Amino acid sequence: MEKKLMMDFYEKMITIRKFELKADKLFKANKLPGFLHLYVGQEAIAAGVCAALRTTDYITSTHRGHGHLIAKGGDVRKMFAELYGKATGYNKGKGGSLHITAMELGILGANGIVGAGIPIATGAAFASKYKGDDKVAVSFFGDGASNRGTFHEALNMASAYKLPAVFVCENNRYGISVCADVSTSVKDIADRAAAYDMPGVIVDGNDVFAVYEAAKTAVERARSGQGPTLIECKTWRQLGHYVGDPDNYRSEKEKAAGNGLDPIPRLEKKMLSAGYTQEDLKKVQDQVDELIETAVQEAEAAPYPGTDALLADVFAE
Amino acid sequence: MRVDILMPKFGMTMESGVVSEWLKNDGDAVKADEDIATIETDKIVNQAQAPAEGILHITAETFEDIDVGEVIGYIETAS
Repeated sequence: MEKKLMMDFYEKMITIRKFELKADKLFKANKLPGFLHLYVGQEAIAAGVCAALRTTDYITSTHRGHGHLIAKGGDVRKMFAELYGKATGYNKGKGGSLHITAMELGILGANGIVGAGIPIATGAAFASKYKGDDKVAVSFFGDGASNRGTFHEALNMASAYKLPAVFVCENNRYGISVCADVSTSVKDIADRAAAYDMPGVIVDGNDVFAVYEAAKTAVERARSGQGPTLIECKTWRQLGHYVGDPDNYRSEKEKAAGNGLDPIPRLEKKMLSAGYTQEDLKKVQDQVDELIETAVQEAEAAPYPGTDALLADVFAE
Repeated sequence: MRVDILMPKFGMTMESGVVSEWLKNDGDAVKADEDIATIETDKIVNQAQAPAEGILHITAETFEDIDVGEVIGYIETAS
């Protein structure tokens, strides 16, 4: 069972990594409009948390959202099409990287506003409890977002109403260019859970199994009516805040140490000692390369939304 | 094969930039993804990487304003 799970994690994490590195190149080549924030280095969190969820469960994502979407089952072809602003994308080309939404997968949206997904997930958890439909809602957000009012209001309400919510803080130590040491009152974001009388758990966010175990416990707790959990995943963003960020606010020494925590080689090492071969890993990498190439070609060839789509999905019908 | 090096787009609002410094000389052998030029805009300074491994050919003068996506040089690859 664990061996199979390793391969599932690996497929997701490699897909996320390669998606992001391709998107980086496409953006720099002026192929993609808008802004792009990449998830390289944080893949274990999305993969570990989403493996503990059902397709019908909800997630809310962030500006750095591609990894969450892929981990929750997002189709990279529809994602690339959306990044290109094409009609075949998840939002019919009108959302872009920052707003990808897939209701059929429980993905309630990436979000351009820091901390904005937290109350949305709390609302989804409230709806689930109200309707009694057994769904759990997970909100992903960063360390910077935990300084926003939305975080504190949402955690209070979720705990007071014992909502089936899980709050996943990806602490990569920097809110854009500001280090958490300067901006944040606590050393560990998980300590903030105590203020709202819920468990606050710290995990190594670069260890996909540690993330998965913590998420599984939190999801079970949420689904059985015991209320929310705050999980803080300590991690590291390997690239700049956005594509093009000169990233001159983190020292070379700190970057080298952070990049050394890369979750993918760590998983590969475990897989090799569990009996997988280099060929098995290579096969996954090749399959993902092919998928990404196809997705980009399809996205390039796809049409932009027409003017007749201007008012589509704007009003309830 | 010739692989063009394009003025990269750094961030949402960048429309053009200059090469403030070539980090490699014309005719140098470079590796893929190696930093080859410093790019400046009114907002940022960042590095451009080689799109392929091969011999670098520089076409853009330093401090010549070049639109995003326009050619600043090319790499002549072995195959």
